[in-house]
Amino acid sequence: MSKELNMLPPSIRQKKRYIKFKVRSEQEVKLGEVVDTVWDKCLNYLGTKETSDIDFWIIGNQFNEKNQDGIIKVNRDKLEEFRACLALIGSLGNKKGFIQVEKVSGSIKKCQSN
Amino acid sequence: MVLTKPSFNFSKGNINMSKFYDLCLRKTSGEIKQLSDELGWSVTNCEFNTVFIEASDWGDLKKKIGQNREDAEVLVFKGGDAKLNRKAAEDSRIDILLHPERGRKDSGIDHVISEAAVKNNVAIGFDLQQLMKDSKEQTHVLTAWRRNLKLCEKYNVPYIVTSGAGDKLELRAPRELAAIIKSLGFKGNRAVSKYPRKIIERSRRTNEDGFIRPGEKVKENE
Repeated sequence: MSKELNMLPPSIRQKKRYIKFKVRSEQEVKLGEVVDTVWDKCLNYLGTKETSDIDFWIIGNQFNEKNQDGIIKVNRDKLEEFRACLALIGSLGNKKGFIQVEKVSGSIKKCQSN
Repeated sequence: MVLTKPSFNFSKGNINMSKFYDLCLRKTSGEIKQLSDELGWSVTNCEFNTVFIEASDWGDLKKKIGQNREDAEVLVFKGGDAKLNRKAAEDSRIDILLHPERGRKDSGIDHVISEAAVKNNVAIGFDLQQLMKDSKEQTHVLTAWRRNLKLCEKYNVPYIVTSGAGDKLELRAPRELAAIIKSLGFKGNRAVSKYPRKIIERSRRTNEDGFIRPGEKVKENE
């Protein structure tokens, strides 16, 4: 039976930031399309090594299809590189649009608050 | 000795926040203006007149500069040809030399053009629309950008980055554009804030009444 790892102490944990984003497009976009586009663009622009450094994760349960916004977790030191990738997105799925960064914060709770 | 608490006033007006400027939007409308405000741009060319010129040879370029300089608050030359890039950099009536690398295998700028540009206050423009292509072309454009940015930093040539948006879905936020320049290892904030501001200030100075040429002005009582 596999045993879960213990959580690392805070001082040696990876420092992270949460990005609150908003999708602006001509039609509504689904979470899957956002995930595919962001992964595709990151691998395309930065390559596998840099993308592994960014260590981003699009948090599924935070994506609101009605408001077209959500939250992405990224490595704090690679925030600017990730922003550059987001800027290069010109379409999501087959729909023309882009991803706007609304807020960057250290916790999900602060990201959710307006 | 009585120690008193220093009083800080952090109301919104007192914080010196940087302003962001996009001078080279290809189309302007109320819709684009509204979205650019939401994205965080302080000033875009929806509020003033930016004129784009293209030319096939030096004679044509001279003619178009003469025709458009009076009306334009910011005059932008769409580069791409090596000879015309140099001519544009040597003409102080031009404000921005946009995408000098367009359609070329090299970067479109060398040290001679950089020196001329800094002497005549011509800024180099980096256009995001040049990057929105397939991966192979994107690689060539990024190589050219990196080389041009290196020259700009070395010779102190002003540079700006623009979304070059033709419709509202081509707009990008200022920090995103700065992040692209930053990811190449250069100072992205200057490209969206400091240098475009200087271009606008210079343009306003030259449009003032009594302006003759840089450093010379007619006094009101004379």
